[in-house]
Amino acid sequence: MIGNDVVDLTDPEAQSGATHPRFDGRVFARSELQMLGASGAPNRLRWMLWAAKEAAYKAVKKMDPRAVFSPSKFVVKLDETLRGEVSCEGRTLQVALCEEATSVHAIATSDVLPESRILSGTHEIEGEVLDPDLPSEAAREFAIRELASALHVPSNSLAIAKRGRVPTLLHDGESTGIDLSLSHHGRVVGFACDIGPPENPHS
Amino acid sequence: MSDEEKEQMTEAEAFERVVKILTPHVRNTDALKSVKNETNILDDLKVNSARLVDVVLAFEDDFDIEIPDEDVDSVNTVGDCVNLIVGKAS
Repeated sequence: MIGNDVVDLTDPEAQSGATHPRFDGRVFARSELQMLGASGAPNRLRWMLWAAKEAAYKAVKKMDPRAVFSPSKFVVKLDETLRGEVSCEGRTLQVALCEEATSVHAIATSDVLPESRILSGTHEIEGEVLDPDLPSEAAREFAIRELASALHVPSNSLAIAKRGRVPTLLHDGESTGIDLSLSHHGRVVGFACDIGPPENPHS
Repeated sequence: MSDEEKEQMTEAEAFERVVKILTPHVRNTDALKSVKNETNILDDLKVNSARLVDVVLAFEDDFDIEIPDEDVDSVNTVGDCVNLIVGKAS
């Protein structure tokens, strides 16, 4: 299973000091607090860790609908390449972070997958976001555009429906079975999906 | 908040305070104009998940209660918040 999360670092909510004074103590494990304490860019790291936790939770929730998002129990370990693991109550997920100048994007998978199977990306909405529904619509449109290109199908043959909070990719109205995750924050939208083995990308 | 105040708190008072705490984190301000118990915090008010942590911490401060993550997970609507808080504060 796959999950992703994006944080717009330019959003007022992501600025240093914008969170509740007890935010870090509530959401981070001791090892993560130590990482933050030793970091030269703690605010950026804060949101990387948060995005990794959220991405991992989204993947876990697909496997276990009863899973609870207890952020401090999703413990993130990253190497210098911003790859690593998220551990939570006996489960270990793979995580990779993509850093942009103005955003961070985390992709978590429950299995070790070759990079060629994972399609992901972020996109920045131009202009001011006045319509609160715009980011989620923009995330769907962006994912469809990228997936249509990767799968060599027309954009208008793809659609994204939701089962509960889980997005499902449809092709000509039929479920593709492709594992998909959408996210948005501020003006940035993101997605990640497991497009499957190369020989059978639609299965 | 004193023990006496906790006992006297009605659902209407809790609702008012819950909405006041949520307000700075709401992205869909139009939805605030018609906010009611059934209003969904993530889907209708567009409060994001990181902000929800701040909201919960503010509830803890304002109502002098503790809210474990397991309880947060079952909260979807403003009414869920009110019921949780009134239950813990009583």
